[in-house]
Amino acid sequence: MTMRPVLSSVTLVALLLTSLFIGCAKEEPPPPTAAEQPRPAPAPAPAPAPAPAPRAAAPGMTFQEAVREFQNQHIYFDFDKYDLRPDARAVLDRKVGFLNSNASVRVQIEGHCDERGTNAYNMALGERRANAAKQYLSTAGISAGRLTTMSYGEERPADPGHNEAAWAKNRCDQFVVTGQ
Amino acid sequence: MQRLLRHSGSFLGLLIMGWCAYALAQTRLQIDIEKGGAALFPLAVPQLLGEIAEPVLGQQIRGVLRQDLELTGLFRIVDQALYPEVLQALEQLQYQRWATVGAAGVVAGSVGNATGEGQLLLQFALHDVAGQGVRTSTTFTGPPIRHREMAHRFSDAVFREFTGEAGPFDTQVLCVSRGKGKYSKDIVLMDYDGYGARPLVADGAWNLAPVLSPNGALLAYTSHRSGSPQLYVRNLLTGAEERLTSGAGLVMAGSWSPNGRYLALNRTIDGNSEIFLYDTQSKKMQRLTDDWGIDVSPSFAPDGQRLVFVSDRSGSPQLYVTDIQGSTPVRLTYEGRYNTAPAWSPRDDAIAFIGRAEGDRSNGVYTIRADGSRQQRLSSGGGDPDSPIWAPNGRFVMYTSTQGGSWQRYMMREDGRANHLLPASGPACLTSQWVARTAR
Repeated sequence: MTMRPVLSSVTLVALLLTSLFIGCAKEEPPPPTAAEQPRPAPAPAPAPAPAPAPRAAAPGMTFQEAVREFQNQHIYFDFDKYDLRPDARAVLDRKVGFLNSNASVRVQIEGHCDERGTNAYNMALGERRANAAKQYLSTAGISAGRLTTMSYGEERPADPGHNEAAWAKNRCDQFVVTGQ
Repeated sequence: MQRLLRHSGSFLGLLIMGWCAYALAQTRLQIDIEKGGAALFPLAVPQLLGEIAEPVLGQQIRGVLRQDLELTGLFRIVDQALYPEVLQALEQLQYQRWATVGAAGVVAGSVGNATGEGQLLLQFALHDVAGQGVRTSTTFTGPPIRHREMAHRFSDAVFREFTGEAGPFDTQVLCVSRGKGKYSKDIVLMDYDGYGARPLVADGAWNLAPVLSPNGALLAYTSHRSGSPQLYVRNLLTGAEERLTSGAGLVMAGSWSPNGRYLALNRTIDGNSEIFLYDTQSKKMQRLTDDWGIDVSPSFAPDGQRLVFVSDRSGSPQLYVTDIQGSTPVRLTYEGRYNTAPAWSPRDDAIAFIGRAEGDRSNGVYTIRADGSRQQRLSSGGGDPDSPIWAPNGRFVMYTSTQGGSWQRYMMREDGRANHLLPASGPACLTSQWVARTAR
């Protein structure tokens, strides 16, 4: 599988712009779990709930297509939680693959919350969600210097709705390629 | 001459004592009130003398008085249609006729021009109908643009007359409103009722979490103008600004100490947010917490020693109390799995916060004592409340509630009674702090 390593700046800008318009509305997350664990031990993985299998990258996918897929696949969180669910880990494993294959790509991980709760706490929650993904990726071998994090709290919901369906889509991390 | 003065002095003294006794009787009645129109002290706010010549100004002034007084939860305004007379003089009323229509007090006023270029002269007098006299009166002169401020100050005078305490009305609220850019947020200072809004920080960037120092001179806030969240302190008098942080990681100012020396904030180090104190004297950051969880939203107690903050070290966000020495935090809340946004009363050991107890359908505004006792839910109704803030007199709580994406501000007494939706004047914004009026 060949990949063009050079990403023209025009393409990069186009991809970045595209990522801004596509929200966290790609996957239906499993129902939230009820377990609550004291920190620092992370919550044990709950029984895997049914989740759509991530689409396998087709051989011969272009670099632009791979970046698009990388940016369009988000990970989702339970209400008030920043634990990585199995479906999140599966998506992150795919991202590890892309990042290993494109060793100079840099990424900003953006943490989001749904609109409920308090602004201040949601800023911190969004940050922990972003950091949870960053930690997973760097544990998997991706150099931390390639990864930045940013919390948007409840400021930029992908889905403007005011219901459970919208809220589930807004509790997410987005991954934006920031350069290479 | 001196004998005459002495006699009139003692006569006046007797009168005042009589009025005070009667007034005290009335005041005791107010503090005992239950919610409900029947027990509220009925006040009339009739047309001002001179209002014919200044109809717009007069109506605005009376509107301010009416709204302020109703918000106290102590008064109800007698229907204008019942007023038995048009006042001819500020200090003279036909008391019997006012008593007949059920008014126990009358706020009389007079609006006119003061001697001097374009100055407004505003006089108010609070009449005691049963006592048949004036309980308190004030005269204001100043630029006409300050007429609302003058009316608020008399509302405060009326509040003090009935409760012996400073009123909450000549105050301002610091808040965060949507800016012109798609994702920009401005920091705005406005009268508590939304009027007179002026932007303090409106640079097109995403600004948030503002807090004013006790003397009103320093504004601490977070801005994303550099591309990542950083903490700034701006001197509002000189315009000089200091950036206190660098590097990645969230930082949010929480609360100034009552003596203005410390700024309590949360700052993220190595992906983990902790409570810090910035010492304005030493210009150093002092770390107060050290644990793996989220530690945010510190709020100073009026003793300047203790702080309440939010931590999820137990597995869910709860309130904890520590102090400026960084003593081991003591957990405060044990009910419910979501307790955040604490604000310590400026007056005593009460803490307002946003909580959700087991069985609650949605978050609510709660208060709790600093010893963990008497947790009670104050707010009811729909919407998602956030950011409860205390009036400087410590007797009222304001908060923002979001419903369907729009922000609304509410004000209520510290026990949750007399909860009123504030009219939507001024920019829709998230409340951050309620302060005494800062010097213009």
